[in-house]
Amino acid sequence: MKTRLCQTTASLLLAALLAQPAAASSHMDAPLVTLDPAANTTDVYAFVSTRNAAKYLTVALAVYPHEEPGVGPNKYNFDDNVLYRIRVATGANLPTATNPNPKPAPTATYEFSFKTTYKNRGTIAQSYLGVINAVDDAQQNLTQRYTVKKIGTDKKTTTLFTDVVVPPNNQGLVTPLYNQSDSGENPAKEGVAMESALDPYTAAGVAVNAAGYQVFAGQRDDGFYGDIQSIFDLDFSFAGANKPFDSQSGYNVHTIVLNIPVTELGGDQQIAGVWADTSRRATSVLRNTGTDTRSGAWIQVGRQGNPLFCEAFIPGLVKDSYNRSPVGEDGARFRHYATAPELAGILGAPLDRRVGRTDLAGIFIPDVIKVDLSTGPARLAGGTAMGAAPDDAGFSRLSIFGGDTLTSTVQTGFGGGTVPGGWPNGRRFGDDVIDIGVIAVLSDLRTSPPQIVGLTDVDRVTANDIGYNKVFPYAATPLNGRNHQHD
Amino acid sequence: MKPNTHRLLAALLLATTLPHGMQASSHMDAPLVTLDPAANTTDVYAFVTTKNLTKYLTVALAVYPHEEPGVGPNRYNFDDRVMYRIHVATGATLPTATVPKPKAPPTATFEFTFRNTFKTRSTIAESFIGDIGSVNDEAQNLTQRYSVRRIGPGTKNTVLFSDVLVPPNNQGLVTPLYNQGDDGENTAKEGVATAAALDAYTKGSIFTNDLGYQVFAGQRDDGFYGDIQSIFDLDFTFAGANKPFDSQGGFNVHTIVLNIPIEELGGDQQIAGVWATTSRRATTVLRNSGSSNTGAWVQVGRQGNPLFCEAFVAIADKDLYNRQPISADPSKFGKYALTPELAAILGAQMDRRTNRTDLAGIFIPDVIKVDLSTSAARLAGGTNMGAAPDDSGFSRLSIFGGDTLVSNIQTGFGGGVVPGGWPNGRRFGDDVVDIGVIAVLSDLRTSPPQIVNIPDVDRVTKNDIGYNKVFPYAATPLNGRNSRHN
Repeated sequence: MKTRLCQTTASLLLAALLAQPAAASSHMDAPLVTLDPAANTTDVYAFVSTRNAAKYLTVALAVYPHEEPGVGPNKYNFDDNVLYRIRVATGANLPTATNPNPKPAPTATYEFSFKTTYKNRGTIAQSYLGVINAVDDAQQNLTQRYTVKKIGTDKKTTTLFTDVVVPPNNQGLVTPLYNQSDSGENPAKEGVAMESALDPYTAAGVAVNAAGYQVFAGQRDDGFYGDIQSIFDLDFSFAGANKPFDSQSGYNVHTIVLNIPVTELGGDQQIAGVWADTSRRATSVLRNTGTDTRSGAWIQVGRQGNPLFCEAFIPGLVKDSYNRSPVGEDGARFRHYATAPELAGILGAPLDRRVGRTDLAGIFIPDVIKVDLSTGPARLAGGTAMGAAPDDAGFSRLSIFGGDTLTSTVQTGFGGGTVPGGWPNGRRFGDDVIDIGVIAVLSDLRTSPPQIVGLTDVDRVTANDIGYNKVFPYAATPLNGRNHQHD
Repeated sequence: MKPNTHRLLAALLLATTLPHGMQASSHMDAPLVTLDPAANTTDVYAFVTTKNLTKYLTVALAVYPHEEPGVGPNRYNFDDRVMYRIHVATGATLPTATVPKPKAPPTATFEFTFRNTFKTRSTIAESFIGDIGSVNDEAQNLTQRYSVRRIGPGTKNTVLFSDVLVPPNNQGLVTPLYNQGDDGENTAKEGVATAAALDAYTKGSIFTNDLGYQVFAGQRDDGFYGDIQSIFDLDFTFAGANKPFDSQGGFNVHTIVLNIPIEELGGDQQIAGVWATTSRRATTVLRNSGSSNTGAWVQVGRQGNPLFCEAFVAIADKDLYNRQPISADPSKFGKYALTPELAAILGAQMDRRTNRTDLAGIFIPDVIKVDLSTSAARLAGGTNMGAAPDDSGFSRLSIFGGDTLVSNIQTGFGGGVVPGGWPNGRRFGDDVVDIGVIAVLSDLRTSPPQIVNIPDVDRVTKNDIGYNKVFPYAATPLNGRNSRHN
């Protein structure tokens, strides 16, 4: 299939009266969780990295879609009443299509719980009392802190971090150090290639413990990019006077990033499955005094593994169910949405690629991001704007479809241990998941060799609005509310 | 005070070490409700209008702050688990500072409840299946419908509208008729001056009943404008390379608009108090499959005047404000109007920082008071190409810009002169940031009042799109396809 076919496909699509589109990533997936932004997961990342010769599995969870930078400080925070979890399963714990619900539990479940404090509650100024020079200084009125616990397979709970500070949101003049030349009038600083070059707020938000874990939680640029507007608009040409357009540009999210020493997972000669979920207490009772009570078990209200699955594969009828159900039920309840994807029909895939898609089920069912820990570190995305750190040599936003591969010592992959350099082998900041996903759906990965369509640019958006960091926490600087424009 | 004092004022502000900042309107007021956008009220409007020689009280409630047009269709809707209410109190039912809890309930409480339907749920396309030619046609997958009840006077319960339609959100190519030239590539249509000129979707979603009520509910441009970013940024100069800037430009909200025939309220020789509330069921039980919502309705959000919760009530009480009835305002929140932190932040004269009975007269209890005896309020239009112009004499500064009305029933500022807009009612287009700051810095306790002369506080003087000068007044929702943000 040639690139041109995308245009033909688009024409066919517009002619068809088929029910259409897809939301990409997971910024507005299911009806219930879209009304609960602080628990609404947007993206999960997982990739192999190295630091000071030690090997890590880096995992990240982003929540709170579409944070408008200019109005951020009071509105956008982690929610004290939500339990955020990132789960990592390896070996016999890794859920698979044939063993979807392994006992025991995942190798490691990392729990993040937040609490919010104010220095002064007698003021109308909720977030900032003045220019912030250091995280949690006297000018930062609202400060969030969080605790990280690890629950092991044996249910043993270890507290990894206690009361780590979340840096402030990027407002502008009051948060100058996030921004170029330390001026709140300027755009946010581009991504860097050395830890020492990180802005002071971010650097101070990174905590390390004795076991070698690193953690960060706070506002970040939304690292996802793509033209979601066109998809909703049933326009698969991604063309016209207003295009190309990155409809996620200009927005922030709240992001948790955790560096897990591979030794903590039992070494690197294995594959890890990574997913994340958000939970609220089962019972909440509202009171006129505002002293609500929340009690009972934690109930999962949101979850995410691979990008695209809930949005582009699961129909409206069961989107909410997906968010509430465990990965162990994916095989039984959601597998047919991967094996006979509506999206393949919408995109005009050849008829034999619309059914029996065991290849797609291999990626999405169960919906965990599988990361081969035996490879070298993933190539990292930087950016192309002035001052940005460049992409690592060989990095491709298209992952394996752009020739960016890694070599595994624990699986054959596409021969000789060749596995994708990014999604669907893990997922990096900068992976163009819309393009990769559409290429995968239109291709046939069931054959050997696989038949790959020659698309290189599906939605005409090929870069993030700001360069990523190439050091922990990888996610890019939060965008500055003060020089933000929208009209 | 002369206009150039404004600069001086700003300089003083920057020099002070007082805690700064305020929010305008009510887009992100209190911690709890900011996490519940569908129940988060942004603005309440109330003003006198006429149509075919009949006089109406027009009321509107906007919710769901900062709807990004380009990603809207699935995400931004009314919540079918929220009860939206607009309260109108007149005569003996009007709460006052001395009688905050009248014996009788408000003359009329209008209740709006929504439900969602999909034409097909077996698709990943939640909102649009194709180009929408008319509201709720086959191409509109997600359709919201709502019912309107009136409670009052007393316990009387009347169904005013059943299952009326909400039009689609403005996505672009699939919703061409919202946009200029009926082309989804173009920007949204500017406001119009005649009902016949309204776009087809909006027109198709205005419903009238036998009693003469008119109702509309759906996505609209956010009619509030102002530089909120600078305020959060503790920058009261509103200057610099990135300014002036309307930080609400480019966003939509969901808006309910109701035209109430004045005779339904007992005639026009009286003052009406208007406020709005949002409520959820007291008890929510989440389950792995579904959830239940039971028990009494508990108020989770409310709004009367712009600015009060945001710019006057301290953090410690913001959530409480949203939960409490207006009858609690004098005892729990009166102090925030009488001794406003904002007066100090803005560097008001010392004698204007305490005992502000004039501000308490506006904000306590926090209802928008509308004099129904005046003629129709002057309406804002717009200045963009193709917009309907403002009514002659309209000023965004209301009385501070010389825009007044004449009351038959109160003396006002003498001879029945009352403000043409907020704080006598509130219109689309009232510059509430400027009006509010002027009121705080002025002294309205004296006769004549001493008004500071600040014609432009935040340097944002108009909305991003022209308002309609006919029902539903709120402007066309902005088009996701040509929305820009970076």
